[in-house]
Amino acid sequence: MIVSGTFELKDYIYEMRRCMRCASCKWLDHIYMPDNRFVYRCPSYAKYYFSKVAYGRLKLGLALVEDRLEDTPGMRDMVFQCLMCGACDSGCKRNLDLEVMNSLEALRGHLVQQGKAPEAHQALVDNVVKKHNKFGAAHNQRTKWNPAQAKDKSDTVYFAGCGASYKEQGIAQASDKILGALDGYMLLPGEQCCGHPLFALGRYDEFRKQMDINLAAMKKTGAKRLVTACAECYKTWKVDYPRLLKINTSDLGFEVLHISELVAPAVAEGRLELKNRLDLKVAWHDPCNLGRMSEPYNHWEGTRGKWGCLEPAEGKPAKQFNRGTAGVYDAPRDILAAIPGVEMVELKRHHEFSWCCGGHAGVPEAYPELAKDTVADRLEEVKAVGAEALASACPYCKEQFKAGLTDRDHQVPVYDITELIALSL
Amino acid sequence: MPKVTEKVSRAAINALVNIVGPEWVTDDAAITESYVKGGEIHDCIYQRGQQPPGVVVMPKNTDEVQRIVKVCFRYHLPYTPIGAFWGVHCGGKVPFHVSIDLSRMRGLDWDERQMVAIVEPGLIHSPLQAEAQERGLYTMTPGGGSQAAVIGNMLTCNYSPLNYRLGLATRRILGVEWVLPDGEVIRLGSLSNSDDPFWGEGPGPDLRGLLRGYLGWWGKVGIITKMAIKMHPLFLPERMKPVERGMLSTLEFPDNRIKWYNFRIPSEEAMRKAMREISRCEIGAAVMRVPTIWRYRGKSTSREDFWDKWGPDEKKIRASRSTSSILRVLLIGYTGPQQLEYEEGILMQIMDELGGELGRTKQSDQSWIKNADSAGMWWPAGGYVSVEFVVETLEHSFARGKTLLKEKESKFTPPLVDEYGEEGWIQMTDMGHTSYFEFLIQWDPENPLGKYKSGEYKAWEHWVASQRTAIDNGQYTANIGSLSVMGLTGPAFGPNYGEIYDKVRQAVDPKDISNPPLDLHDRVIEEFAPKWMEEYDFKPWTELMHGGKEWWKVLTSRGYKWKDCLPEWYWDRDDKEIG
Amino acid sequence: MELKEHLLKIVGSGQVDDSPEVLTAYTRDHSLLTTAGLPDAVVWPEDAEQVQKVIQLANEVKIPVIPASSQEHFHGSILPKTGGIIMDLRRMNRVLDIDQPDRLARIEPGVTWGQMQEELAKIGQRMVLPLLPLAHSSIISSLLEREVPTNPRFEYGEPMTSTEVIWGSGMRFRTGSASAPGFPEKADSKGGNPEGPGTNWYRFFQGAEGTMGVVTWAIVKFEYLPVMDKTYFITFDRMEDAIEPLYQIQRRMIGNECFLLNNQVGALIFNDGQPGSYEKLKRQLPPWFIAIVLSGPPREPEKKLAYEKDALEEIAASIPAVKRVDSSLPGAVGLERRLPEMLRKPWPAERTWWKHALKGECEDLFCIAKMDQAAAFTQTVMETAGVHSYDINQMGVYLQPIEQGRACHLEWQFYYDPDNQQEKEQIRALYMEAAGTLFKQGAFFSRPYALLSPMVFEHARGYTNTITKVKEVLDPNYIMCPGNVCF
Repeated sequence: MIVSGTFELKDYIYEMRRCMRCASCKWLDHIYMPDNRFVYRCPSYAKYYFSKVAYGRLKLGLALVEDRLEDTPGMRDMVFQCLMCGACDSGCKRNLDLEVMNSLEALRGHLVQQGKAPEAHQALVDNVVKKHNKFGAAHNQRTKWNPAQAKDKSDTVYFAGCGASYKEQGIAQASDKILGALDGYMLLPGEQCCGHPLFALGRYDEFRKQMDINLAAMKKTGAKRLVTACAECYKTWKVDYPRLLKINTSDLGFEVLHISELVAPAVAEGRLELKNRLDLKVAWHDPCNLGRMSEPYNHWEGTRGKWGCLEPAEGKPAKQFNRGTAGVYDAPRDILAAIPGVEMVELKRHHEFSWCCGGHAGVPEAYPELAKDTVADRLEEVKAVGAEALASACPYCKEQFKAGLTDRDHQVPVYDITELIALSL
Repeated sequence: MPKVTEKVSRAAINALVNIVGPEWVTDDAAITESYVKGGEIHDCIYQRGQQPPGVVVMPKNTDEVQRIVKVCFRYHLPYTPIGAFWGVHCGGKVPFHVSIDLSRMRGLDWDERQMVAIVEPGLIHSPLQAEAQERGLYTMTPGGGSQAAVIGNMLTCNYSPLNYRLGLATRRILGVEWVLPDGEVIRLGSLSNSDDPFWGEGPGPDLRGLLRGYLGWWGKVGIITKMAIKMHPLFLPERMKPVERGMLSTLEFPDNRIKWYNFRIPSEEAMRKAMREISRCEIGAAVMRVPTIWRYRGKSTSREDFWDKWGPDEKKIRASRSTSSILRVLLIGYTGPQQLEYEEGILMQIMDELGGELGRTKQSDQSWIKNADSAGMWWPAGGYVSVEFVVETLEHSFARGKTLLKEKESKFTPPLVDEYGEEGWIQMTDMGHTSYFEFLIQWDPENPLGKYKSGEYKAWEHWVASQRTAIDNGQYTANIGSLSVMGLTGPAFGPNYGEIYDKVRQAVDPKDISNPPLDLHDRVIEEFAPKWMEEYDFKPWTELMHGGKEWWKVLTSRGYKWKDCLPEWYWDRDDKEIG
Repeated sequence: MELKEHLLKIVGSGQVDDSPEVLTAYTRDHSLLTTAGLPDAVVWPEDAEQVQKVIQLANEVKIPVIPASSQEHFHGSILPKTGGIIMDLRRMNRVLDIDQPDRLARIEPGVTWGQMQEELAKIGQRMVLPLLPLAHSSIISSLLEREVPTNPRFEYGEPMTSTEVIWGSGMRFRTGSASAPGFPEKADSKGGNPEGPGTNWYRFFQGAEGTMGVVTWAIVKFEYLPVMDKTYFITFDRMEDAIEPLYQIQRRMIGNECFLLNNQVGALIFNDGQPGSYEKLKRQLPPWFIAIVLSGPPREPEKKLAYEKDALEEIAASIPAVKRVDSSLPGAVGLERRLPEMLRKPWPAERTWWKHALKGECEDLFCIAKMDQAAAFTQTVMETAGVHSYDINQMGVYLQPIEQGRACHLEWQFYYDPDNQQEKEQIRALYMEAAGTLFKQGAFFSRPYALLSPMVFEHARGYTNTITKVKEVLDPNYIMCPGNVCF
């Protein structure tokens, strides 16, 4: 029986074997290839070359699970010099039906189980487990950003996340203003890290514990929806929690929304007015976790039969493939289009082949050069399209871009979408 | 089996490090493991015997390539050059070889006025197409897909329906810079005279004859580090625009300058006439008969969806074979919109005369101008290979198709996917003088089917059958040169082309280090398995080859030493020499 | 046994000659070269088997073989530089097969342009020719020498597909898809693909001046005779003004035959042979003119001619240096009607060849260049001509665009009296100096015949070494035309 979303490497032998090395995991969609400069979708490959991209990692995984390879000095870097950004998965799924991201997650978990994770990751893990946030800051300082308009009870829970709570408080404050202008919100009592860093680092057991805590808290609120302005938290709640529970996103018992998904229809329907003019020529950066990685999770069980076709277990629906094209792309664009004076410029790598900011999956901690080069490449792209500002929808993207702008000749202001909305309200 | 790291000496690796720097050399098995085979097809006979390299090195320019090759020459190290690693042949076949990965060399330069692109070996087609169109030019993306390396593809295939007007790859190659297996750098065409590669012939006798062929060398005569390629004038006022996303992504174009037509043609005879008449009237940019299964693939959103549609339509498809097939025509208004208008008028006249009915045709292009990956062919079953892709006359294409279908249906289906009587893909080339024919087979590489352990075994036999039928019927075939399984075609074609083919190769690669061996050739079999081959006929030998590395085990279990399994020269290299 | 006796056994009586008169005829051609001595014999084989036996014999006795297919030669390739057997292939003049649906013909090396065009005209077809070759020139020779056709469309520049060749080693071999077993009688293959088997053998004997082997037949492409033509001319005072129009015409794929001539070449080609006609044309023709033939295919040709004419006018309107597109050429009455047919046939056999009509001989200096370089290169040649006291008003210039104008064949013609030794030396000196200067300026001599071979091949040392390795496989005893190319 094939069960979707497991973390066992042996469950992905089909994927790893059937990879045909077409390298869609590394190149942009050829139809959209802009030029000979911005050709890759995989930051790891762009920096390290060799086969440090999904096809290489899948073959490594196959060799491990088939016991053909022992540990090597380069194995850890091969696996962990990866931003887990999902670009490879959506590239592969443009043409094939392989679960590339799941395979990489299993590979990562496999090495973690063998004690081969980078040492620099341990601090991150400890921060989340012990201090309930990825920064190791005091848990009781989490709501210091001033949730002025938070109510005691609401149908909407605003999940601020570690990033907006501790580092980019402007995002949380802007979200407060926005949600206050709509139907109001409440905070998740005792909010802890959603667990995303644990998941991204391959610590699935620790992640499960974090998930259980947060789910219990959410259930207790009785709220109908959870809204966040953090792409990582969004993906975690919407995709990773149901996956571990082996249920569909739609069966969670509450809706998970990114704040842009709330704002866009409100603006379109006139419930929220964006009236202040902001004269900005802004490039929109699609965060990995808001775009390609955030399609609803659909649990599946079945077998692989004749011709390799997947046959669902009795009474179950056919498998649906998340190809990355149905993520949250339109909402932020619609919002930007609605703000007076804002001209949105499309970057060359956008939507499901958006280039990662470089601030994910323990890479800044363990491989700072990879993080640095990745964000530098994105900022080059911003310059190449003639943008005068950069906007995204994730506090970690914002942090990463700010770090990348240090010591750079070409400077652009970096905004979160919530900040732009709040400015225009 | 010895570990891969033992056999490329430290001295040699250190020499490589001194050329490219330590970050561009690796012998770590976590990486080399993934260099075992090229991309594309799985579990087919081309890949049998492929081995992980002993070391992978990534140069960034011609100078580094030359110095690396000289190290290999000096230390007698076999090497395999890799462009995009899309071709299944990219995997080296000799243990502990040096994989020279040219992916860092993605340079692209232009002489727009002369419509020339000068490319490096790591460049693939889509960036070339993107930048060409920005300059009012375009290139011909091959059927193999945009992910194929431009140079690698030009040296081997480069087939596309646009061959109809744009000619064959052999004529699109201009000046070339070439690192020979001994490390000497030579330059072809006008590059032999100056720094300008705008022209490819000569001087004098044309060494481009050694660059490619049918099917050429697959990396066995050195490494091309620069190639100038003919581009063509873009017939549109601006670059084609990408629209839709994911599986549906495609290029939009103005249909007053470029337009597709799908016609249902009532008989094979009418199909022949249509193809000939279109060529005779000198209209068209592409003319082809499209396999039915491709249309089903094109309409499917997943493998399951494909089978939901394909399976139930068997009877209908079989019944319609002889009375209805699809002719797909591309018209381009090269000179202007009036040309397309004119040609459309002629095309409709011809269709009218022959009973062709115009069907619904989507006016956007995913494949022939700017190809997405040909990976979509993977869908029906997971395993696929073209057992034939050959340029010859139109009648030859029809004949070859019937020959191969008969073999396939009588002997190999199942386990091959039944295509309900498909006789292959035919397109016109060279303004109708010739046509390109391709025959694909598909099988499920994972699951046993009936009495067969897997379809793979039968795919191999079919491939050998493909050669045998070519020999028996005097048909041309792609299974010659480096693609000749078991070297069967060597004596039959030419005749005896195998003899001089190998001699010419040896003349430029006397140490046998450029992507050896000459595939599954008689000579290889002689060298690699001198005694045990006599004990076996063909079938058990393929079983022996099944599983790739397993054959080492079988040989050694039968008492043959590791040393006996490799040619003499391998053991004669002097690892101690310091460069 | 003497050589002649061996040869007689192979080719039969009457097909071998070693008399001094006959041998002497092969010691010179239309080039500036002669040989110091005589060949050993001349043979006229009638089929591939005889060719093979002669070559096998030559390998045994280590005597060179020099194949000659045309009846007149221009570049010194057939001169026996170290003696040898001249293998005159004129008897092998059969059109072996005409495959009309595929427009492919299989011909022997002795088949000439005149013969073939006549044969094909009967079925409404024709081959695409270089500029007005001699009627008795061998087609295979022309194609092997990569002579550039007047029609830059459809890659007509490479009309040869499969071949049969006897390599210098004596091995009989078929290249391309004709290599299929049983070809031609028992094979489904029709020889349409030039490539393979294995590598692209056919390229080794292109531009090789006979140094690799003897082609005993080749398959060539032919095309439809257009059902309707319309010729246009654009005239210029200066060569450089003609270049941009040529680029644009070619890029938009307008027309069939298209080239640029100066009035010297124009006068030589278009005069009617009557006394004074050449001189009159020379006076009346514009200094430079583009000739372009728009041709209509079988269906509704007038519509195609119409849109191509519109496109031509658009181009003309956009370029200030273009005064207008004329449907006649000043000074050449009725040329617009005659030109298409002229270009699709060789030079009339009854007239002295146009290049020889002025003074009896002509030395061509030609190269492959970019059209943008043409005027500057021509200036170089003119200056060099001036230095050597050659009257530049009598220098012919011919620019032939190749394939959508991505390059061009650029040719300068120097006419001289073959009996005037001083003139010959003047031409030779002029030729060598001009070539040397052009070489340094980036002109590409893709087929450097005897005078230019040392300059080109010395410079391309690596290339030379590698092609030599190929030669040593195909002609290990250096039987074929030693002294030609770089061998």
